[in-house]
Amino acid sequence: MNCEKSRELFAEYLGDEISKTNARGLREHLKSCSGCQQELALLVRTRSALRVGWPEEPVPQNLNLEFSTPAGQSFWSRLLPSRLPGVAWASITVTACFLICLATLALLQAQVRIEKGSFSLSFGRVARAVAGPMTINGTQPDVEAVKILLDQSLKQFELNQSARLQQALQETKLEWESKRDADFARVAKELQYLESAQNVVWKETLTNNSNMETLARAYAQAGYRPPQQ
Amino acid sequence: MGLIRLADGDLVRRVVRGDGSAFNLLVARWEKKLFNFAYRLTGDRDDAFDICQDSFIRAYEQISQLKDPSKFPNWLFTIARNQCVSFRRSEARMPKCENKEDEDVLNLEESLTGSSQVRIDGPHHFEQNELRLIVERALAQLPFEQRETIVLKVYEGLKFSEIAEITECHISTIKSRLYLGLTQLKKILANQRGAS
Repeated sequence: MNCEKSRELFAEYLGDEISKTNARGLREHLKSCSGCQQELALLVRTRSALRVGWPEEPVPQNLNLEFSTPAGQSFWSRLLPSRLPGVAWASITVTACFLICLATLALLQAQVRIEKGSFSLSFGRVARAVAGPMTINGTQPDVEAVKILLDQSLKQFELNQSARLQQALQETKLEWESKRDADFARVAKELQYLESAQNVVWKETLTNNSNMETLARAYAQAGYRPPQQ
Repeated sequence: MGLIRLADGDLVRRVVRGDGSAFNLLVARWEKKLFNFAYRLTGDRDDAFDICQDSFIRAYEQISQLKDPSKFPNWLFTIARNQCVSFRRSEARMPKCENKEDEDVLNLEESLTGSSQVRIDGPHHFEQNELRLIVERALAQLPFEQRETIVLKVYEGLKFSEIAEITECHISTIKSRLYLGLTQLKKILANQRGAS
């Protein structure tokens, strides 16, 4: 065994966990190596000095720890007093349940209604009524009366709609007819003006001989022949 | 059979079943060891007391997580060790003043012996208080990892495998730390050599 290997075993020796084989090998090496022998002796003395120099001492004061409740419940026992009467615990439990129910209903946007002894529960947003409750002479109608009223209102609404539609059609028709007559009159007037204007032009053209000659040449070049009288 | 004769593992099982008073016996058994462990790691008696108290409370709260009840001591040391690490970190954020009192005591001891140097490897016999201060100061100079290894091995007598489990290191690392730590301590103590 060399010095390097020997010093690797120092920790095991100092920790009282060296095997018999390693102890035998170390002992053999130390017999022949004064350096390792001296080093190990100093380390052993250092270890002894530590043990002697700083012995165990008692805990300076009482730890003030008293464990009586089951382990794992200490968190709650710190939050809540452990010796409340049963009634107090019951009321705390009921209140907690009630608050949890309220929170749940609020979370679900629940709406609770009690009308004429009937209970209804709905969840989510519900459209609110614009008008108040329907009344007839200050009293609430029954279902049949409401149906009749609804039928009447519907029929009246349909009649009104039909009348308004007829009136609109009639007005549109009259408007279009008057518009059409005016257009016809305007077109007739424009045609009359155009016809008279053309007549004037023709008359002026016929009276202008040079124009006539130019026109006759143009016709002759195009291959037209004057109609035979 | 009285609780006092029960092994740690049996007491732990009773605590887990709801017998909180069994934990008081575990506290009584291990408070001295745990306090001294924390004291040697932190070097401060008050801090060690707080760490010891917090460790027991934490152990009580988490005892149902202990898979092998017979390993309660090592588990307890692990909790205390982690508390010391957390404490050390918080102390690093909030620097503490030097302990003037210890300084003064050491100076007094030195003046009484008539020398500022003492030797650990010679025939000189130290007063207990003097040796205590020297050892305490020497340990404080070590890196935390070496200090905790020496405390767990030399003072608490744990096996290398148990220390490795507590510190979450390999056994070879623990052996190396022990050797390096003791070598370092030997040098520090040798520097105290005086004309004794």
